[in-house]
Amino acid sequence: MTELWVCHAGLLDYREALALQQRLCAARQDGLIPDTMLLLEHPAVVTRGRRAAPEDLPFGEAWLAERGVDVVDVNRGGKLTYHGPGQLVGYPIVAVDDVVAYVRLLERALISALAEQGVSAHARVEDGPDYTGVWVEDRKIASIGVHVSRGVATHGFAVNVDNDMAPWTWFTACGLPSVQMTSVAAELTGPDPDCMDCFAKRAGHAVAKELGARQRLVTPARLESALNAVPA
Amino acid sequence: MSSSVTEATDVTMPQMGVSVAEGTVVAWHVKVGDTVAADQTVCEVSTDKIDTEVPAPAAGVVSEILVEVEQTVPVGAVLARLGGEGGAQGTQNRVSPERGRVEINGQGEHRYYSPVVRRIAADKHVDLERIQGSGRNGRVRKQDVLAAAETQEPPLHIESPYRPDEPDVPAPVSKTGETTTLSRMRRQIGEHMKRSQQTAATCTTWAEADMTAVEQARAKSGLTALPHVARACITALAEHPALNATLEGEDYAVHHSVNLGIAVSLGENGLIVPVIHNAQDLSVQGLAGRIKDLARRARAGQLSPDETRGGTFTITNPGQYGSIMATPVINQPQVAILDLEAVVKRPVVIDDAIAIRAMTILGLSWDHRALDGVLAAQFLATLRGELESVR
Repeated sequence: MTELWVCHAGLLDYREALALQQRLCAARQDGLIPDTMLLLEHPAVVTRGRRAAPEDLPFGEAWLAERGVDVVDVNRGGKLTYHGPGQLVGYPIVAVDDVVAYVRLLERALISALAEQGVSAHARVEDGPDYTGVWVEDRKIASIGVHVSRGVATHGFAVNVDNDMAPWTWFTACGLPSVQMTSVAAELTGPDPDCMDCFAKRAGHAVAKELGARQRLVTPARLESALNAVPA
Repeated sequence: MSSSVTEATDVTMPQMGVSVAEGTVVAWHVKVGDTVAADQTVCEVSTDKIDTEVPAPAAGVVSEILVEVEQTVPVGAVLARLGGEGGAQGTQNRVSPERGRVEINGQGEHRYYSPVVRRIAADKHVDLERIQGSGRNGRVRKQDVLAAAETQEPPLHIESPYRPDEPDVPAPVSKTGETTTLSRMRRQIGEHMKRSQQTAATCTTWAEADMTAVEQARAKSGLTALPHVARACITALAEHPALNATLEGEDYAVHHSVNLGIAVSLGENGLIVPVIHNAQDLSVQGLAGRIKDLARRARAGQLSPDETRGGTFTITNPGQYGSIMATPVINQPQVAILDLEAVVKRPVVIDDAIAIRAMTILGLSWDHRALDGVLAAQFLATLRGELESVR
C-alpha cells in the first residue's frame, strides 16, 4: 500500500505555506517524496486568484488591513477566498491523472470526515463547476481549488471548522455573490473546544482512505529534512 | 505547400478527466516567437476550479496562439502551434477555412475542394463530405458532385414556398464590434435583478407630480431635487408603513425606521445601492449630505458592508438624461422602489386655466404579493401632496 505523508503544520503564514507547497511540489514531481498532505491553519488572509475581479473585493485592502486581514495575490486560478484561524486547510501534494476525479475524491473525503464529526454534508456536482466544494443543505462548508503542474496537484481544500464567519461577508467568495457560508461549529449545537484537532485528524484519515493510501504522520521537522535531503 | 507543416506540433486542450469535455484557458506563459523546450509550461487551463498547466509536447518556436485567455474550447482543440526549430513559418501558410483550403495535419480528415466543386455543391445542396471522390487521391471532381446531385433525394422542404429560412450562420459580428465576458459586478447585478423578477409579482404605478414647489425650494437651498424627494418619500412612508417593508418567503416585516437605499451609478462599472440608515431622523440638508457622501464613497469603492445592507425602501433617480418613465426592478427583499425621472416644464390645467409647471412622473414598482394597487396609489398621492407643499 502506498503512503500518504500527513503533516500537521499548525498555524502557518499563507506565503510561507505557499513556498513550502512549491518545494514539496517540485520534490513530488521528481519522485523524491511520496504523496504528502499539509494540514494547517492560516492567519486571516484573503487570497486573490488570477481571475478575481476588482469588485469582488468591494471594501478595499486598507479596510481589510484595519481588521487584521492580509490580502495576497496568488498565481492560481479561481477567484477570492478567505482563510483564517479555526478553518482547516489541507494541501495534498499528490500525483493525479484525472483532475476532476481528484476533486470529486476530495469532496468524498471531506463529506465522510464531516459525517464522523456529526455534520451531514454533500457535494453539488450536478449544479456545475461553480458549486465545487462541500455543502450542508445550500450552505457552503468547504471550498476546493486545485492547481496541477506536471501531474502534481497543489492547493487543495479549506473547511470552516470553528472560525469567525464574519469575514466571509466582506467580499464575494468564489465569484458566487449569494452563497452563505457555514462551519462545523455553526452546524453542531454545543461548544466543542477540541473541534479543530479532532476534525483535522479525521480529514487526514479520510483523504488517505480515499486515495487508497496508508496515512503516515510526519512532523514539520521530518518533512523539512526530507526536503533538504533532496539534491537541489 | 511548404514542408514545414509536417514539422509543426499542435498544443491541444488536454483531457483532464474522463468526464471533462472542455476547458478554459486562464493564462498564457509564452507568446508567438518564443522558443520553448519540451515539457515547458505554455499555458494554464481551468475546469471545475482546477487549473492545469499545459506542457509543450515538443521543443519548438511558438508560431501561433489560437485561443485567448478566458476562451473555453473542447478537449483536443488546438491551443497553439509550435514550429520546428528551423523556424517553421506556419503562420504564413495558414489560410482561413472560409477561403477553401483546410490545413491538413497528419491524416486527411479534411479534404480539399476546388472552388468550382464547392459552388456546384452549394447550388445543388450536396454534402461534399458524403461524396466518394473519383479524382487522384480521392479528390472530389465536378462530375462527382453532379452525379451525386442527380441521385440524391431532394430535401423535403425545398419545393415548399413556406420553407423556413435556413438558420443563418451566426453573423460575423466581430467585424463591427467586440465580444467580452460580463464583469463580475454585471453578473452580480444580473443575478440580483433576475432573482427579483422571479420572486416578486412586480407592478408599476405612475402618478404625475407638480415639482414647481420643489424647484423653488431647491433653487433656494442649492440642492438637487433628490434629497427633497427623499424627505417627502420618508414622510409618505410614515403614513403608509406597509411599503417600508421586506418580504422574505412568507415573512412580511414592516419596519419602524426608514433605511433608505439610493441607487448610485458607477458608470460602466455598474450600480450599487448604499443605504441611509434611520433616514427618518434627517432633514433635507442632512439627507443631501449623506447622499453626496455615500455616492462619493461608492464611486471610490470605500463603502463598508453595513452601508449597503438593511435597506427598507429604495429610490432610483436616472432622470438626468431626460427620460420620463421607467419600471424599476424591486430591490429584494424590499417590497417597493420609487423611480424619479426628469422634471420637465409642461402646460398643465389648474383651475380651468393653463399654466406652465415643472412636472415629473413618479413611478412606484411594488410587489403584489405584499400589497395591492390601491395602497401604491394612496402612497403616491401622499408623496405628491408632500412634494407639492414643499416650502
